[in-house]
Amino acid sequence: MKRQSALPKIRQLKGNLIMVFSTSIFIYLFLPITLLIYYITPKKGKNLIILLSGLLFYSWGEPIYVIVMLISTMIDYFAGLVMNHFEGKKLPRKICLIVSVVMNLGLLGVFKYSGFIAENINAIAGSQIIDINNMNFFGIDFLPMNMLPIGISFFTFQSMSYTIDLYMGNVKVQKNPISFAAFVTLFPQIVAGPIVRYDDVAKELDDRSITIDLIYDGIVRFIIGLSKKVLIANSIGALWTAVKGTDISQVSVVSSWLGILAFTFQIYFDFSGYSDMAIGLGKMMGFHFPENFNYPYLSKSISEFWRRWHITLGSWFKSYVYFPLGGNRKGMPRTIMNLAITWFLTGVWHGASWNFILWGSLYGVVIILEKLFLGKWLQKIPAVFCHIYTMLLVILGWVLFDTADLPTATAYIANMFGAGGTPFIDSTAMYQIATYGITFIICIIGCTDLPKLGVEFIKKKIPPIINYGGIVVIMGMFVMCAAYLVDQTYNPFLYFNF
Amino acid sequence: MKKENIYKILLIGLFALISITVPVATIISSAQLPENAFSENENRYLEKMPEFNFDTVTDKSFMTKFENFFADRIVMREQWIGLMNDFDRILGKKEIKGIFTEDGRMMQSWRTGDYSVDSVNKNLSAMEKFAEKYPKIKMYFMLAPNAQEIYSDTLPANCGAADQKLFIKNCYESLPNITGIDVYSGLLAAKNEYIYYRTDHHWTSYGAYIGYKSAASAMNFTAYSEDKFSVEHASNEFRGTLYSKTLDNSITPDTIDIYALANNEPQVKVSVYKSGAKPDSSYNSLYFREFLDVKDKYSTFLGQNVPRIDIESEIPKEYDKGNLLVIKDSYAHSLIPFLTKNYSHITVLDLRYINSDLSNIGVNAKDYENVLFMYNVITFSQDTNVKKLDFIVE
Repeated sequence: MKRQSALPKIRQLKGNLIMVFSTSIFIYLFLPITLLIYYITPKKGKNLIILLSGLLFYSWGEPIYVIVMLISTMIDYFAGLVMNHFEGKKLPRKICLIVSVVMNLGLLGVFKYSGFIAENINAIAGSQIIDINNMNFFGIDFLPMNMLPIGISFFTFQSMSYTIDLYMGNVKVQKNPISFAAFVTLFPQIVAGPIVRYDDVAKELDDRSITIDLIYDGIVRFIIGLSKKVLIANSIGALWTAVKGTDISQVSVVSSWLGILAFTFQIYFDFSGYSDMAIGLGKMMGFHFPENFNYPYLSKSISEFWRRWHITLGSWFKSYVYFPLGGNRKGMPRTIMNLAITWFLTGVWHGASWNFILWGSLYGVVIILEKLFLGKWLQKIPAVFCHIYTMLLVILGWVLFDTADLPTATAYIANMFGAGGTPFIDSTAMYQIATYGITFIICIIGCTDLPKLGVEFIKKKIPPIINYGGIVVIMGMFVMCAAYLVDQTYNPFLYFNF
Repeated sequence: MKKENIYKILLIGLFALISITVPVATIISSAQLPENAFSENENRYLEKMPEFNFDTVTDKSFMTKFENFFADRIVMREQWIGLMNDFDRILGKKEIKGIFTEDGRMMQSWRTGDYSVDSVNKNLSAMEKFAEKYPKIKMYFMLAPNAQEIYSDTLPANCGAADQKLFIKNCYESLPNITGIDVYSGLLAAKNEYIYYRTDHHWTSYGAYIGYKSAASAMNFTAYSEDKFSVEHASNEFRGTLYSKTLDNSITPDTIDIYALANNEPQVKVSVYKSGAKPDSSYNSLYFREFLDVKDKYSTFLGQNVPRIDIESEIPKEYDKGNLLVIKDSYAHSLIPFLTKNYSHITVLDLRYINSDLSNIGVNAKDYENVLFMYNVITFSQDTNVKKLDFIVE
């Protein structure tokens, strides 16, 4: 059975069935037309344009499951209205909240986890109690397995943030159904985040201004994100694909490190590039989405890494799981348990597979250890060791994250440390270094804050270089990305005539 | 408008310009393309506008096809791809789509992982069985190395190119009843000559001439010496299959050379069998000059691959070695014109296009005195049709 995960979906954008940002039809048809209509529509109608364009965007990838998203949106909208109606009365409000949460988690459970749960029930029972390929729910045979509606992990969490915050009194009710639906279907963040909470955009949903500054920032951010995805992530990802596709007994120690390092960079540039694109598109439309990445690979501890990586997910779990459980206010044992629950769930969120659960739980263990004593030790040792410690764990974590199953992951890690009996280095590894060396250097520099500091430094000294030179660089990157996108269908079919 | 904002407006304007010009130009240019437009470089038809209905939308085939439809017809498509390949090269990529470009020449990459030993062995044992079945027929095998082998010194270090010399040796050694023709050393000795196309995976006419000379000693015929031929440069604008993949315009296009005996070029009758035992068309030249005007200029040599070609040539008795059955890939197309100077009757079979008994296409192996298997290493290593010999010969 194929693994179901939120993140690998992002990595399979190329050639996938979804109109993602990095396809030529998105950039040359959907985006210009949508923006053109959006800008000329008067303020009052703009949310309707967001709703319609979001529905078109989402149905392009999920022509059937768009209904799932609409149902989820409608239930949360009405839950909000009813909750508002019973202001001050605790019980009915609680019922509304429970309906909304159960419904959202239920959708996630059915579409994302049912196959995994069934598989494990079968494994425990030792027989095929549940026919995984033909599942029935309440007598309705409705679920083709492995059909994970795109972005379901994101939009259910976003939508839930509204009802939870409304219950807790953090936000005001949204009475306009179009505005609420526009929040859920806002196309930039619908597929892969950032997880925009209702609170983040509540004001801008009703009233936002679109300025030259904002559009400029948005375009620059979008093109940077697109380049991270298309020029860097896809490029370095080819190395990981090659290493992963080779039988591990044929992979030298150096190659196995190169391979997982390639994935380490690929997932960062892919995911953060996607977030950049979403944030940039949001700005072009007048929204300020929360930041999602803050140079995670510069972290000096795992706790810090998770404050810098997929920030909106971490803060979602913190706000809606960790804090409601009591956070760190109820003593150490309770804190540890709360952390354990939160990190188990974080692993589960990433995908229905033991790899992800273990991956998330191990992070939970390390974070608990850091809280107990490791964190104090780390402060005493030189920073370079803290970086090595953090990156080593992160890189080993990615092995777990992106290999097919636990035995594969273990064999891979063993090979990295020379226990696989393969040579330390071979000609393949040397060729990989020669071929990907420059890309690796770009990746290493690109995931630090050096480019940003450099730009700021020059901008302070000689602003025109950045202002006008930046136009050349940014538009150059845009043209390069376009060239890569065109290549996605360039398939010389030559062997036929040989 | 604040003055310091001009650069921002400039960038927004440029972004808008590109985002609007490309789709508009695409729509205009694709409106001029026929519905079944053909991409010569890719040798395939472009995606057609998909049908829009409930079924195609719900199974997403409309979306996929529409994406391909748009990307296939995007304006200046091949220029975009050339640009991308340039960028890949700057990034240090040594090969683009499996093609090395070194020393002004494109070469296919071929590694041990690119073929299956098992499948090669099946081909070889089918050939050997065929030879055992017809002990009276003299059988020869010419396995030509590819450019990447002859110019392996120019390939990037550690690129893992497999050893073709060893591959050829192993193949020849597992065929005790078939005489292996050493074309390798001749080509290697002539590596400074124009023996392989720079933009195509085939050997040139001169490379094939070296093949002809190498065959002469093994097959016991007298090859015409080089000075007996006149060479016509029929086209200087040949960009072949390797170019189609890399779209690298920095490599000089190739020349199609047509060799003919200066004094006594024999009259020929070429019959092309596309199916069945009756010829579909016949020509009185070995060179199908209509292909000089299209992309696929290599097909000037005896046309495109078809199941069977027959060639009768009027040659002086003292040169005539009788008849010859050639079982081949497309490398043979530039070799066979030379062989027609020494064999008055040649039948050419391409097993990749034959799925029936040979009698269905009117050939009986018994009628031949000589059989030549002629392949290049890469095609032979990946071909799964040679083993058809087992069942298609009676």
